Amino acid sequence: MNNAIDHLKNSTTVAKHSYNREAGWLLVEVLIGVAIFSVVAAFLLASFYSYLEYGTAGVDRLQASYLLQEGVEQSRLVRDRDWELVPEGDEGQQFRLKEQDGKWDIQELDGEEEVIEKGAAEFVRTVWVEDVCRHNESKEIVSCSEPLEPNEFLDQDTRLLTVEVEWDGLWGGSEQQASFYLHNMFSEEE
Amino acid sequence: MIEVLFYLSIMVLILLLVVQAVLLVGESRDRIAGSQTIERGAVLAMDRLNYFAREGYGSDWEEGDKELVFYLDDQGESKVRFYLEDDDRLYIDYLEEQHPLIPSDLTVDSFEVEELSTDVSRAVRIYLDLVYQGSQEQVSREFQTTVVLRNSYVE
Repeated sequence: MNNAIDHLKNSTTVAKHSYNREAGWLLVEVLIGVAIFSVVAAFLLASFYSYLEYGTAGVDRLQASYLLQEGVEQSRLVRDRDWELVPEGDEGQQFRLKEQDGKWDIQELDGEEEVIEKGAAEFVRTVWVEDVCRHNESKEIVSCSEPLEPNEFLDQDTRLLTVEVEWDGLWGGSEQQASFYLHNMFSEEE
Repeated sequence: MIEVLFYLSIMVLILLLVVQAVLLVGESRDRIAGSQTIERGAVLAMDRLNYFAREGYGSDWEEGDKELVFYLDDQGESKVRFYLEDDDRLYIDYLEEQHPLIPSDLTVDSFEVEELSTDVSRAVRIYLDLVYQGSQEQVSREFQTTVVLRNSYVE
């Protein structure tokens, strides 16, 4: 009788241990399952976010390209107003287009950027101005040496302008640039 | 009991994530479709405006009627007209034919023009805001550019 009771006690203890061990394994399995699900979900979300960015990035670029064109055209208007308003080339110096009483100027940046807000998007437009040098005889444009070579001269009626538009785009900042020569076609010397 | 609560909370969390993802997909579909439709519409409208502005000898902007005219010769006889129909549809009137300039699923929220001039040239500054109404979300974009009327230098 005693043997039978001992046997019963022992088997109950084994069953308890077995139950606890199974519960422990189940918890580990659930945690592993949740971890895998989280990794997969994070990957899917990141992929989906990229797809979303790619799908909407084109219209940002388009807005920027029209603002870039505007920068080029407004520079022409500054030239048309008065050639003296087009600054001389200054390497590294950033400029901005600024409107005053319906008239446009190219001014030194001095920390105040030209920020153009278009709905939720924000674009920053910057201008650089470089001097233009030419060969004395052929009049071809050459890169300006420092100091100028004897066979070169500084063309006071031409500047090289670069307009840049920056915005927060795909994977951070995006930008578009356009460089063009601006010529004083109303110069009295011509 | 604690285990049941633990598993239940995980199930609820996963369910919430799935619902959130479904909602996000719906909104994003509108955003992508809207952005791409606006991109197509803006190219159609802005490029046409740009082209005729460059060709123009002069311009005339009627603020009240939201009507922009470019004169394509120095006599002012040949012209192209851009105007709003029903307040939100942009049309072009050229060679005695009128066409919508943007796809039918887009509307114009704002069409404004500023006429600029110097002693030797004229220019127009164009603002065009387009709206796409999706099933769950509205997408809108604002465009602006400036064009010097190349033939205005002739005067």
